[in-house]
Amino acid sequence: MQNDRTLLQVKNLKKYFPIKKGVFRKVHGYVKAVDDVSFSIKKGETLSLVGESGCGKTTIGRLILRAIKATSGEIIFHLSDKEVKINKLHESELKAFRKYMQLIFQDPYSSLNPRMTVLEIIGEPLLVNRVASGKVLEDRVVELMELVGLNSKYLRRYPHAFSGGQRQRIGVARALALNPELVIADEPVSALDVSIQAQILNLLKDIQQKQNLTYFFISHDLSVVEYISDTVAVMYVGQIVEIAKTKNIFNHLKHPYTEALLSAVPRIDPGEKRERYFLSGEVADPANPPDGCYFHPRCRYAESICKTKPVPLTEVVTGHFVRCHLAEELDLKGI
Amino acid sequence: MIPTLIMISMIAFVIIQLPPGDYLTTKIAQLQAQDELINEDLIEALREQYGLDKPIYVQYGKWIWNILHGDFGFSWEWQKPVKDVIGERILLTAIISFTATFFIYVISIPVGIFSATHKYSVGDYIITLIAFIGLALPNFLLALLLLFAGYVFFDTSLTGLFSAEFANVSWSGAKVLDLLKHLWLPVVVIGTTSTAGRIRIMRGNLLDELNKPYVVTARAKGLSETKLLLKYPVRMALNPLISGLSVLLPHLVSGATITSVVLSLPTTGPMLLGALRSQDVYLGGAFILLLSTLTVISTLLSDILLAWADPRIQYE
Amino acid sequence: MRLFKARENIAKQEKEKYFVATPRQLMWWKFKKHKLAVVALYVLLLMYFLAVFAEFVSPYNIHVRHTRYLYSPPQKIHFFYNDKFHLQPVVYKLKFRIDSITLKEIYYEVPEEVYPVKLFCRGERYKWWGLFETDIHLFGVKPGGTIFLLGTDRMGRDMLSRIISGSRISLSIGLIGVSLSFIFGLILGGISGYFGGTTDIIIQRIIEVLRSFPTIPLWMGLSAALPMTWSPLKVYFAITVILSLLGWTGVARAVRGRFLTLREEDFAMAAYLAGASKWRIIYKHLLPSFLSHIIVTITLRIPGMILGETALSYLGLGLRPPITSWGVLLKECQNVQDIAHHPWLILTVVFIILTILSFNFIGDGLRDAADPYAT
Repeated sequence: MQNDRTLLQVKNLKKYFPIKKGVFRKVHGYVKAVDDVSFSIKKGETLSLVGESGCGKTTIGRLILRAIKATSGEIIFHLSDKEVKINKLHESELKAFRKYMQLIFQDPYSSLNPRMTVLEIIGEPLLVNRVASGKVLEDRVVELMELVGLNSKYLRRYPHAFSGGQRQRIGVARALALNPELVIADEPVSALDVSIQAQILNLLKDIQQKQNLTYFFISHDLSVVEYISDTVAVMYVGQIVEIAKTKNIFNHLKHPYTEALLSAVPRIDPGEKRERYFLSGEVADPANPPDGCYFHPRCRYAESICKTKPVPLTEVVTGHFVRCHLAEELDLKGI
Repeated sequence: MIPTLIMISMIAFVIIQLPPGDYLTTKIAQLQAQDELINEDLIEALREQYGLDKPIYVQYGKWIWNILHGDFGFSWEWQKPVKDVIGERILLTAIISFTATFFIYVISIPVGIFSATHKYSVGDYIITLIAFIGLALPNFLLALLLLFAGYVFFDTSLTGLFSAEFANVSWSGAKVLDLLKHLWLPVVVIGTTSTAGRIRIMRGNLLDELNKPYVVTARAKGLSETKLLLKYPVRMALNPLISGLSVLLPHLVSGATITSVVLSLPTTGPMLLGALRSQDVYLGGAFILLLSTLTVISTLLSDILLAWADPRIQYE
Repeated sequence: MRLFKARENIAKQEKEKYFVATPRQLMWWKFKKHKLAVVALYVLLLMYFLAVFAEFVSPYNIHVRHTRYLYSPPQKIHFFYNDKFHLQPVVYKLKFRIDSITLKEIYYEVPEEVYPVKLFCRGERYKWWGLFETDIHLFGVKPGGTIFLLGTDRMGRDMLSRIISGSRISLSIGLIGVSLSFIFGLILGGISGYFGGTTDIIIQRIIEVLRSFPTIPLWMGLSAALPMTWSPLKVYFAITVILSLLGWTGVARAVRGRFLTLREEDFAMAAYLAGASKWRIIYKHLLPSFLSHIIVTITLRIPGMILGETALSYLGLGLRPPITSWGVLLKECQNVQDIAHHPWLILTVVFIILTILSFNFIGDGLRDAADPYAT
């Protein structure tokens, strides 16, 4: 069903936050939250971004949405009839463009205004973009509620009437209201109970199939990522360290950091003997990253070259990019 | 802090200059009403001396320059340098305010702790009721009621800070003792509202704190109730009270001003009132400036105290 | 079984009611749980009712001097007279004799001469808010008798009427002053929180300076500057403005703080990403979320305003006769002798305290109700 058309292209994206100090707010340095990130997503596919908290995943999501402006780099959106450079849009153009990309929030509690009914919440995107109003709007909201598996008779209830999972369904319905091309899901299930997580993930998959949606999925949970994504990108301190098809990431991984993440995933089989590999030390400070490979202080394979020479992202196998000097030599175990 | 003081001094000066005319015009009008001869030369000389014919910013500049050199100007009404008139009164105001602060904390902290640890008991209800009434009772009304009570029940007048024989003599050990004997009434009057408020704050904070998991953990581990209470929850609950110190002192100085009028205390209140009424510019200005400075300094002190009490707060 | 079904149905309906309850309903339900606050609300409603219908409720005109009844003590209402209990309450005739030593009037009641207290009694003519002219009072007695339930002052004016009338000034000054603070605070706090940067720093500095001023000396200075020649109405508004001059800082701080935290809320971000305009985000998402908190802040400020007026008028720097406010009334109790000889003059305090207490309780109840979504 995929038509191999690239929907979103991100090239050399950078976001540096200035650190200001003192009375005169002088800039004392930069936090390199996103440091030279490139990837692309095909229409109808899911790309997942994984990494520890604070590695810049969420920032990339916000950059694509233009909730914040990138320091440099390009974000190109390929619509069927035109190309749009999101980073270059003016405020007015941006507002018209918002309907093509929507966000599903992590927290189903704080992301719904407690003072609005479900109708108002799901209907807001339709209303402010003048897509629908009145009865038409209501019909559309009912349709959306049914799509996400909510009983449409709850139309006039307030969020406080719903459970976490139901609230997240409302959030999904709101994101889908404008028929977006791309949905950015920022840890959409991490705040939910495990039993509910599966329901929401299945819902997201179903809708993707029905509407040929494209997902940019941000998560720190590898089991969730394995289930939902076509492509996985692993991030560490503002950089992508490995990006490949999901099965390659999980079976033929090439980066020690990916290995560490995978070894931390709990397994069901109690008989299985495997080496657990714990990361030692702290995540590098993005305001003051180490020389060479950012990961070297925590890497158990690190050699002297890693301490001095910065690593580029290189295509080791077709479609499999790794940021490691030793990528070709190491034989890392997957699942 | 320095910019704040400069702005305060400007506002103080503008306020006292607000009424139309100045002291001299008022004085002249008075003299004319009494059909007295007016010495034009003297008036001109005075005008010159105080720069009354100059624009306001020049007058301000002169005023502030002199203050920086320890000269607060001349009180028309008292015919004495302002410094000589207000020195002791500012001191007494400071004494009353600081004693009241002490009184407030000494009463409110233990009572608040009791109220929180005996939530919904009879004692707590009584304290709550008293606290609410205390909050609703403004200083000067309380002063009036106490005066009335003193008159009816003890047949004495509770006004003043000194007994008659000490009022106009210089400081001595006996006079200090006499002061202490009279001090309690104004301190109670000025402190009641704030004490009531702080009892409520202490109770609320401590209740919040006592519900936190770390307290449950400590209790589960068998820590004695007293230690459990005093070691962390009370310390945490105290923080808002300490930071509230910066709001408390302006409040107390305020309260002291009006209370002292009711109780006819020889502090700043009555004299400020008189100065404002008769447009005694330098006297009024000096009062407002000094009282405000007092509060700015106390704000700074409370910040330092808070940084000391709560290591998580760092003074930038 | 049928009964159980019915009960279940009711429970279901109740639940549905809760699920579709608007924020305002939730707040009201929560507020109602605070019994003292509800009582206080009714007390205040009564007070404001009295203030609005002051001329009708009070038996006498506040400026009329009953020269034969100077410093008359409060009269009692009797149900038991002529050795019998009656449903019709009466007051006795009030007379005085001069004490031969102190030369003061000593009042005594004459139980033989009774005057029935009548509802909707005809009395002095008045124009209600200058609109309707009538002579109907809520209660009163026939000419010849007097009904001074709270006594009279040194000019023989009825204290009850004066207190009720004074409430019109004192209660309104609180509301108007707070509304002004609210408007100033909302605008300046909003600007501060919205624009940030230098604007924010400047406004915060100004607030800091104003807050470090001791209120009463500042108020005293400002009101002393009001020209004596101003009309009572002008003085009234000037005093209100002076009182709100310091009051707005608290509101501004609260608004700014809420603004900054709410701006970061996910639901505000969601609206922004949906393409909502900034204006829509402010009035549809931010304002409703913090309005209730601001209302709590200003409710708790009203007592301060009322007391400020009272204190200033008491010192002779605020409102002046012929305006009658509670502060002006209290000015009669300047020294101990006044209170000792005519203790009823201090009854104004009771009304003041009742008002302040009520506002405090309501503020307390509102604070609990302000965030109906907190657990």
